[in-house]
Amino acid sequence: MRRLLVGTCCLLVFVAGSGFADELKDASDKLQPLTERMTKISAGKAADFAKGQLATAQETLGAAKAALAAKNGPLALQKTELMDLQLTIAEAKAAEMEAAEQLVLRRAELKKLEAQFDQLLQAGGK
Amino acid sequence: MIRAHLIVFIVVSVISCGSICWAADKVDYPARIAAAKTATEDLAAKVGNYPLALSEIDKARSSLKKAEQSYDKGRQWMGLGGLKPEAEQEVAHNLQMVDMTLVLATSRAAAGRSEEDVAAVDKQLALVKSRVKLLEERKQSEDKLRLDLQKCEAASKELTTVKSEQTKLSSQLEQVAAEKKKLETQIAVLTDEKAALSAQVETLKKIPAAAPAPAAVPQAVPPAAAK
Repeated sequence: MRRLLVGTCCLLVFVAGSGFADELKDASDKLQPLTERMTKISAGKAADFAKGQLATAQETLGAAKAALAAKNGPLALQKTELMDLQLTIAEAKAAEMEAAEQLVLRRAELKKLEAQFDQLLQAGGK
Repeated sequence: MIRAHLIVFIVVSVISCGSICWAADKVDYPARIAAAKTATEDLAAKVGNYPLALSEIDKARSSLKKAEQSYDKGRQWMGLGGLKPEAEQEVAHNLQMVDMTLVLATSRAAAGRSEEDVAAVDKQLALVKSRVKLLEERKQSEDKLRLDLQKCEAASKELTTVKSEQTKLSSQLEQVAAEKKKLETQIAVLTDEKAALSAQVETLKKIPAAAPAPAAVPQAVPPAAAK
């Protein structure tokens, strides 16, 4: 009976340990592509448009690395998930700002054309 | 008896104060979950019909559900002892994910709105461009017509000058023709006179020299005197 109890305990510890090890591996695997993605985003327009988001993602990357170093699998996974979302936000912000910039440019172009149109109309009336 | 009541009262007071202080230190997760739910539904109501934004709202709802489940699973002692540390971490993480997903949804909606506006402005641009082109073409043809008109006016002036010149020349021609006719008439008269004189000369040549010559003298008047 005692052996059975000890065996069950060992199995539980093993299962829990392997679960943590899986999460650590998952987090570790995700970290590299996320770091590469951040580098890529930082090289693009998001560096200007989403500076704050990129800085927050950088902080989260540090936290994920710290969680990995502390062998805290669940926290490391959460941090990688959070970083993924922060990078997506940075990209979305960049796209948003770019779209807004395009809108401003098009509106300016339209205003210019409308002025030209009015001028032509006035010239035609004379 | 009174002392026992006093002791119980003190113990209960100490426990109550302790639990109140402990509860004050703890984050009120149900309130945070409720606030996140309200924020999510508020944003879902005003985000508009942008597929990307709506998809992010669904993700926020999913994270919210995860937070609720983690909270329900992690409660200890029938809900009286707060949350297990790992559950608290998960709830906090999922709530953070909800907040960030809402930021993402807002950004996607803003981008969607800007893209819609860009498309609308593009349509307007195309319309105004075509109108400007049309007006420019009309202006060009108008300029050409104006130039042609100027040429026509110049030609018309020239034509008027030529016509007056022609009228002048015609009258001159008529004068010259009349003069010519007059001169021809004179020539004919003079020719007749010449013929008559020649006949007289021939006649006089045939008459013998004894005949008196002075009779022919008055007829030998020059043609200018005959006018």
